[in-house]
Amino acid sequence: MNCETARTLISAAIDGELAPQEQREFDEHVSSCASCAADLQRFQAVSRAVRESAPRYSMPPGVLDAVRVRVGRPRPLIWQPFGLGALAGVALASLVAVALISRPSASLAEELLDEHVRSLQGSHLVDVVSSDRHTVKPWFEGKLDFAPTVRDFASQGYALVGGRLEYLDGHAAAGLVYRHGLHVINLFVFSVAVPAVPAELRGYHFASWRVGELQYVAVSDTDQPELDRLKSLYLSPN
Amino acid sequence: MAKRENARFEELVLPHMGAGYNLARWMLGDADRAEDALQDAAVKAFRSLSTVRGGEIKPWFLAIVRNTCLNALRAAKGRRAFEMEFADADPDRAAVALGTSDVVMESMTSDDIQRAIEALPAPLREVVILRELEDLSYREIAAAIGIPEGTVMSRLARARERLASALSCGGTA
Repeated sequence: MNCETARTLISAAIDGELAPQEQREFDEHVSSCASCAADLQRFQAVSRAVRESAPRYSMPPGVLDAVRVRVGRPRPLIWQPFGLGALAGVALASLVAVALISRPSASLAEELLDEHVRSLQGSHLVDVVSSDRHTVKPWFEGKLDFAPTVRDFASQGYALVGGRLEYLDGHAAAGLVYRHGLHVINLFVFSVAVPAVPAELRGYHFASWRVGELQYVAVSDTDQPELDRLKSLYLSPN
Repeated sequence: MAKRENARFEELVLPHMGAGYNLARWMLGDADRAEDALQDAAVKAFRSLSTVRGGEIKPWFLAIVRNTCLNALRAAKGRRAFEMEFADADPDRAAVALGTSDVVMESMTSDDIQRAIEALPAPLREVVILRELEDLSYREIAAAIGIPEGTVMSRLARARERLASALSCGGTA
């Protein structure tokens, strides 16, 4: 084996990825070539340093359980025209405004529901925290190719909490977060038409509407009328 | 039925969540975003688990994690910046420019090493993480990234060469 070949094989040699015959020839060459031996040492030192000293980040506690919750829900019951009755515990609402190219609505609803549930599980409710729509709206500039309409209805009981950048079904979208009593409402805004979403999926409710070029979808496990009220507020003149 | 799916998921996918987190954390450079991406990837894996027969779950799952991270990066950086970051071409012959061979690594701190890895172009960084920290074979790395094994080898060679230069300079500069 010559130096040129040996050099291309150094990495594979220290990873144990050479065929036995190739490894023998490589070893033979290195034992008689000081330059290649030095290079081998150099790569070995780098590899060892990385293995010994580079951080292997540990998964935070709680991630497995969060995932179990997300996949533990019964698989799509498909939407049903009746409610599931009173939901115990803290009710959470998500309002999602979406403009997407036509896609099967069940998958969109699934995706929005996932985003909603995920946003409630801790670290990533909002990217920009502000109850001021004049702060939230400019935050999206440069992050989206459209300007979402951001409205605050604190006096009507729907307080703007902040905003979040979303990437759904291949499209960037604005996620707006509202608080309504104990409910959290995520509102995602898309710049193209989205398919109709079901009124309900697995106990969560949806509401959707359109204003000009922007389409909105609301997801919530609160009662439907609560969502419809937000919808009518959004549809009311500024 | 649903129970069986969940049991398969527990047994086949969840053992690789730690590897998935480490990869996502290195790719995204942020703990919260890594956790988000990992959760999303796990849900996607759950949904498509029924389509996997036999085969190796770990590279398959890491491929999903990686794609989820790429989507997140694309959304966060905008397409152009994203494509530039991943455009670092593959001159497949690793023209291993062997300079001075006397590596002085004793003075390196783990911070130096972390910074040197972070400074690698994304396509080189990911092979280093998968090989050195996750101990994947070339075949597994090739499957996770969707590149030929020969490319895994040449990328690793280039990555190590860059790290060697960065680290041997780091001590004195």
